[in-house]
Amino acid sequence: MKWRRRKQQEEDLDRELRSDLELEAAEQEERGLSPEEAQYAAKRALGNAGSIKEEVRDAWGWSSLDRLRQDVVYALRTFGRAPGFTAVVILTLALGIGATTTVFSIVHTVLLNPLPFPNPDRLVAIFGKFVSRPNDPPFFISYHDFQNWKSGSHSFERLTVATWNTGGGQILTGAGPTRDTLAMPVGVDFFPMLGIAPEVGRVFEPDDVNTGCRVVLKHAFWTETFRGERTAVGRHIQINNDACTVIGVMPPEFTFYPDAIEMWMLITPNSPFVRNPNLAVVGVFGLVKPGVSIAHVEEELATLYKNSPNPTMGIPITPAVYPLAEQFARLTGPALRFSIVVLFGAVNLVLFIGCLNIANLLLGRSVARQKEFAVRAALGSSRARIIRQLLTEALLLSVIGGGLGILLAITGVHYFRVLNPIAMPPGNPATINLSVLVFTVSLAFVTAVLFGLIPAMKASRVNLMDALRASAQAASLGRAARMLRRALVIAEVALSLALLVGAGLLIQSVHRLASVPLGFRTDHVSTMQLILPRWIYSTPEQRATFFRALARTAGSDVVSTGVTSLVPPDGTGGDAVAVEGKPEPSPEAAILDNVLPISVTGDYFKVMAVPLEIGRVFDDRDSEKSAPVTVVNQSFARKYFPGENPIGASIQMGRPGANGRPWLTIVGVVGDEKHQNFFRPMSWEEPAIIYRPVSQEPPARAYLLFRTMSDRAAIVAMLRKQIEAVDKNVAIGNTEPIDERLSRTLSYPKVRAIVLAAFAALAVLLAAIGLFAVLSQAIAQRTQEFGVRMALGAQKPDLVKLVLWEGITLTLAGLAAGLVISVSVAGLFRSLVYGLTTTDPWTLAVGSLLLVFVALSAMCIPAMRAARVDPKIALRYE
Amino acid sequence: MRKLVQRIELLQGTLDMLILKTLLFGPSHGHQIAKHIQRTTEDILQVQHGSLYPALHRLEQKGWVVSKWEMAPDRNREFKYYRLTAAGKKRLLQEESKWKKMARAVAQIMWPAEES
Repeated sequence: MKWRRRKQQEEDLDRELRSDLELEAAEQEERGLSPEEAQYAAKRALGNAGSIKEEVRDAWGWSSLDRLRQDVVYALRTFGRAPGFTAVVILTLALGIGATTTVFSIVHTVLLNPLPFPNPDRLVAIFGKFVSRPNDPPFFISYHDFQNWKSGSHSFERLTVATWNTGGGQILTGAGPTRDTLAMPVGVDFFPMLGIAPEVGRVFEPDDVNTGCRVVLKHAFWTETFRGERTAVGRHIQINNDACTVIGVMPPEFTFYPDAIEMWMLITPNSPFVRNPNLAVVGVFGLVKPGVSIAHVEEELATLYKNSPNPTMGIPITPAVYPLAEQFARLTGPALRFSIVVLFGAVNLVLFIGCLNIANLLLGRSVARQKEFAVRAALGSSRARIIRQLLTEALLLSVIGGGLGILLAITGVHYFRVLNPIAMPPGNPATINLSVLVFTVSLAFVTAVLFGLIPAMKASRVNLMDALRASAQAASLGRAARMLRRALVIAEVALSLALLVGAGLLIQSVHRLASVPLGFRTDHVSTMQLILPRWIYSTPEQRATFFRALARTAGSDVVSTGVTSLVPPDGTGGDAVAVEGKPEPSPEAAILDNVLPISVTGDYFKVMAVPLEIGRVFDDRDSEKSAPVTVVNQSFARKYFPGENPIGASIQMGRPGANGRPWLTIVGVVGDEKHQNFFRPMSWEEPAIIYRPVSQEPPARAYLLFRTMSDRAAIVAMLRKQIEAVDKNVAIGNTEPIDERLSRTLSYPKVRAIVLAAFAALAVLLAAIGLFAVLSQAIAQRTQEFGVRMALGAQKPDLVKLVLWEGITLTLAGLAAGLVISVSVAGLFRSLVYGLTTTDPWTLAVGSLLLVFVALSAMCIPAMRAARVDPKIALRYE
Repeated sequence: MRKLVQRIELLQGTLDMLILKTLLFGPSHGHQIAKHIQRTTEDILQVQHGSLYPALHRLEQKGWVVSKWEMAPDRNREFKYYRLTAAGKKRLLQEESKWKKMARAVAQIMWPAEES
């Protein structure tokens, strides 16, 4: 619009002056001049048309947009003359901004973003901790404790319970195939506490406690099962063969941990949580009154707990109060928060290195352009004009780099959201964080402007004549600026090394974690989950009958199968054990010394290739009617029978004084299997395990293990048919190869290591570019000096040596600083590292060598350039 | 440098006033304006094109005149005619009174006897 008007104006002016010229010429002709002479006279009278136009244009006034256009065009021409420099700066900016914004957007989602509830900052989760083991993860507590707190505490607006520890087995029938569901038991105050109203129907009310089963549905379940019909309210769904009335549906964005929840049901006086509070435990959740601190709440609850008539389990615990958002993140991935903090630190380092690099490049470039500034100043450019020009260049670089960075960030966040490489906690989905984007873009912009402008201000103030006369060699920055550039390169190398070492440690940790012999076969073994409906299989005898029939039917000549109640590496913890003839453990030790009970068939050990050390495994001899037996693992034997042969000894599961539990005779000892504690993801544990025959301790949920060498799908179909032939009421869950289960447990550390490695690679690349830039610019500035040296008889290798010497000094200084940084901060990463120390000398050495190699590669081209300097040209070189 | 600028401004101001006055008699194009001033002052004031056109555009920018390409009554072609606006007339009055005051003041100094 504006351009078109300007063009119109120019044409107009042309026409006006032309018509004036013609009139003047016509007049002169009337006075008797020849047409030719008249033309000349008219032109003389008019004067310099060009300068008239200039003046008229001045009268129009230059819009700032015109000037901006000039500056931008000039800047683009300048970029075109230095494509390498421009590309490097823009790429650095784009990668820095893109990576930082992506990671921080995720940091924001996981760590900073409030949960999508009206009072997110006042929502807390209250768990218990053993007084004697403050470092253990917190756990659910008893309903009695909740009742005690609820009646005594004054800190809460609402206090309620909820639990995902449903005691195993909520089976949904009548909505598609029979399957497992999670109907989260909650207190009446659960929804009012969170402050979210239902989309359809209503939530629980106090009267619901005394009626039959009622459920509030999660939105996704409603749309899947009831196709989103509002008439779903009032209809029934079958959970454990119990008809539950749908009373409401929550809005789609309503969410709570864990993600698997499909509906909520009410905890009533008949619930196991109320009737049997020490076995069925609950989480306590509350909305704290405004202005009440977490410390105060903790203190109040601890006092109430101490005075409680019937505290949890009878051993000292202390209530632990956490912000709900923090617990959501911890429960989703215990290392999630810390991993993200580490990645955030790393990405900030990368951004910082990127800024250093840009600063370095711009500083160097302004040295090279000092003569250009001087020429422009000599031709009448004002200082302000030159500075504005440089500002435009910096701005343009930032805008292009920032634009690309934003695209990268959008892609990055999209990747996290859609591909979901690591599970994210419930709450807000990851989105680009606008304030972060603004922050990183402005940081990059400030860097570009600052380091582009400082030398320009200096350059535009230099004595014109001196600058014009000076050769490129003399037109270098002062000593201080050269030192600054070197310091920047050293810092880049140091920080790159720190990142490289960090990435090296994480990669090796993942590798070692994955390559530890686990004590069981991980290849070609798959699991198939079986759930025995409680209402059909209510007694152990019924379940044992099913498993006996299953053992006869399942599998074939080429497919061997086994049954287990737990598949490694899942599961740690368990129950206390008493050994016949030895003193009973104290109540506290009984709770803390966990022995994991697993029910298996004898074939389990064969399929999983768990070695039998002594004695025997289970076989047909062990039935419901025969003497109760057990096979223990070596870890158990070491702990309870150090230096003894446990075969033939009797043990009893359960807490001291628990009656009705049979004494079990140990008949065999098998090798240890590695298990993983959910809350300690970067480690393997070898828990003490006692195996029980499925025939004597039949579980309600179990896994059919099968070994397949080929055509898994066909075998799965066959097994399904076989199970259905035994009883089609048994729910068949997911089928999954064991190595896939394992890789899932490794997905966190893997993603973490890969991302950190990518950042480290980026940092090293940036450092190499920085080194390359400093050396090449140093050579450009010293070409004349080199020419003189060579004319005076210096040999080429001397010059190469000079360049290499500078590069190597910088690299070594950077490495030294980097080693100091790595060693001093390494301790913080201990929880992410497995199988090696955080100051692993090999990692430090390999990281340093890698950097030296990269640095040498970066020195190659400048060194070769130095070697190619021709003294004749160099001397003439300005 | 500063002195030069002041002198140019003074000349410009005068030329502006003369242009506005010329246009008071009716719309004219650039060449007509120049010729009119020249003829009226019996060639004492020579209007340079180099100052005339920038002055015209400046006046237009300030809104004192407007321009339009129009057919000349006597010739079969278009010229860019400048026309005085209401603001231009007001400006002319201001300039005129300023100029009169100054002329009288200068006269008082130059020819004091005649004044009384």
